[in-house]
Amino acid sequence: MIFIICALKCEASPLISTFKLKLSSNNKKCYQSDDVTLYVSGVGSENIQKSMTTLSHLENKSCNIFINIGVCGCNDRSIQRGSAFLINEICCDSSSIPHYPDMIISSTFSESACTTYSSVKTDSNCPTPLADMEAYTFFEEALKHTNSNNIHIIKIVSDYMDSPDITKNEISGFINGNRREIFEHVSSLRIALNTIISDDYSDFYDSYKFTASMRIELNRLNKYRLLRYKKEPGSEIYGGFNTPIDKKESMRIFHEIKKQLI
Amino acid sequence: MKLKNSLYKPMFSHIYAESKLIGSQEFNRITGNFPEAVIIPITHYKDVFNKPGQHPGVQQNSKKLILAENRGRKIYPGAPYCHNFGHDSFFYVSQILNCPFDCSYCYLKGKFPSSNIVVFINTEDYLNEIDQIKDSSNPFVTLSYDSDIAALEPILGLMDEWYSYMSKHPNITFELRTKSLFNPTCTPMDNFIIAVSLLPQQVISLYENGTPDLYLRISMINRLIESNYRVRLAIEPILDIENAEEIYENFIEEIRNSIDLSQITDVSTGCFRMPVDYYKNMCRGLYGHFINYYPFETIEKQVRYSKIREQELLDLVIKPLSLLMDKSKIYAR
Repeated sequence: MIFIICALKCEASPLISTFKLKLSSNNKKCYQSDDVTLYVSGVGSENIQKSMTTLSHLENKSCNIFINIGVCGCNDRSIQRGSAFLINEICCDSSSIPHYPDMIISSTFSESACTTYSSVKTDSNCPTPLADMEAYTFFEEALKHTNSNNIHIIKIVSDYMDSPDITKNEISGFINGNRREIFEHVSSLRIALNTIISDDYSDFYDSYKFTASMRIELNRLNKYRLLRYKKEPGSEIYGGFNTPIDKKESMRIFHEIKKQLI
Repeated sequence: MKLKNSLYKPMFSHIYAESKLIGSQEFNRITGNFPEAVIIPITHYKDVFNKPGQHPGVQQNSKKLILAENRGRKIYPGAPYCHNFGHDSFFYVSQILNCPFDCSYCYLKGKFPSSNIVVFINTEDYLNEIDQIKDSSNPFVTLSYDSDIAALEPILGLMDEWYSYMSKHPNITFELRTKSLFNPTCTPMDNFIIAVSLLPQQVISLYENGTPDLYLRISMINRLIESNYRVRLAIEPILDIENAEEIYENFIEEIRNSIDLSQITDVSTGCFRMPVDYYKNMCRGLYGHFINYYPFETIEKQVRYSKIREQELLDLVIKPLSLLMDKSKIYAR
């Protein structure tokens, strides 16, 4: 699943139409499609934290991608408003430890460092060219649900730090102006995500009443077979057994399957 | 739809460098080879290399370079499950952490939390630490332990200082192990052995992603021999692959036909083995290699083949080699 987190509704609106998302029936700040979920968190670290605690049910870390998309301030007037950046270093005004997102996937975005502040920045005294109010907390919260390579932060310059005036329409316009690049970036992430092998044998495991440790061992052997023989084990190995009547029978099926996998 | 190659940024698209090294001669020399790389200053290499939540299997697709200064220990005693080649004192140097290649069976995948490559560029401090062990009995120092330093030499240029040190300390034997097509810039020295890793082409194709083919490595060995360098053949790890018997038989035959074994210093060989903790980490790293899922046995805190299978696999290499060269030159483990 790809999770997009925006602080403001006006940041989210262009993305809701780009990804053809529909309002969730049980959360008015959530928009969804089959593989994209967008949350409107509200501005600032606390809101980001609150919004992402609702994701505590997520299990398979390798299969979740988190993207923070939003506007930011800039202290370099040679950078035009509306320019989009992929963030490669995130600093924070209240912590000395920066975060470094993995920069693995090819992207058309320029890159920059960004500092997250707890209040609106009104002067240009900032150690990085960009400043925002969410990225640092977003990264830390996302890391609880996924690996660092799956966390992406896209910031679009909306104003300069010493004159932070901006309208909602302008914000939507800046996001809208980068829609194509954002869509392409998300498409690349989708492709990369799909190269990870899944562990979906749970129907067989359930029907044969396999224990947790049996499932772990079989998952390993499934991958072993796939990688060694270039053949994903299917019903030719897992099919053909009756539902076991007791533990002994379940164990017999387990050993039989194991033998075939090796 | 993007092709897999264009999906990922190229290797070393980003160079993380400890701030105080930026602008140094070594920094300028190395980064000069990557004019398009994004340079990101960092405080300490562990801020990037040891950061939480990494997925080394995905990082393999686009490794980054981290330039750092090693302020800690630089030389370590050799591991008991590695060959010491008859030397009383065995040490290894860890100047680079991780390797540019992507071999399925490599213990580095379990040793480090990241696939990115750390290079400690303070070579002089390493040489000073070697000074402290130079009076040990018959010392043997392996330089390419946690990496393939020779493969990275064209971009790092670390070896010149080492060559100069070797030439002044003939009592210390140095080994540099590589899978790369290495072209040493020093003159041959009695205390400098180039260990070339050789495995059957089928293994190279399937499990040594990014490394040169067997015939290229054999050509390099012959060039090194002709130029009077001391060459060790490292035929390890032997892997239990399909048709292993036939594949290893043909492999030894190819070596016999293409390398003058009388000119080889010695041969080291052994089956796949790995400390159990590294192996567990490697499996957690989600590399997606078959070796992560092989039903190994755990013997004395090492993951390895069953004793019977191990001996069968070793025999595939040792028996035919023993007929071709002096047995005392074959180090098996």
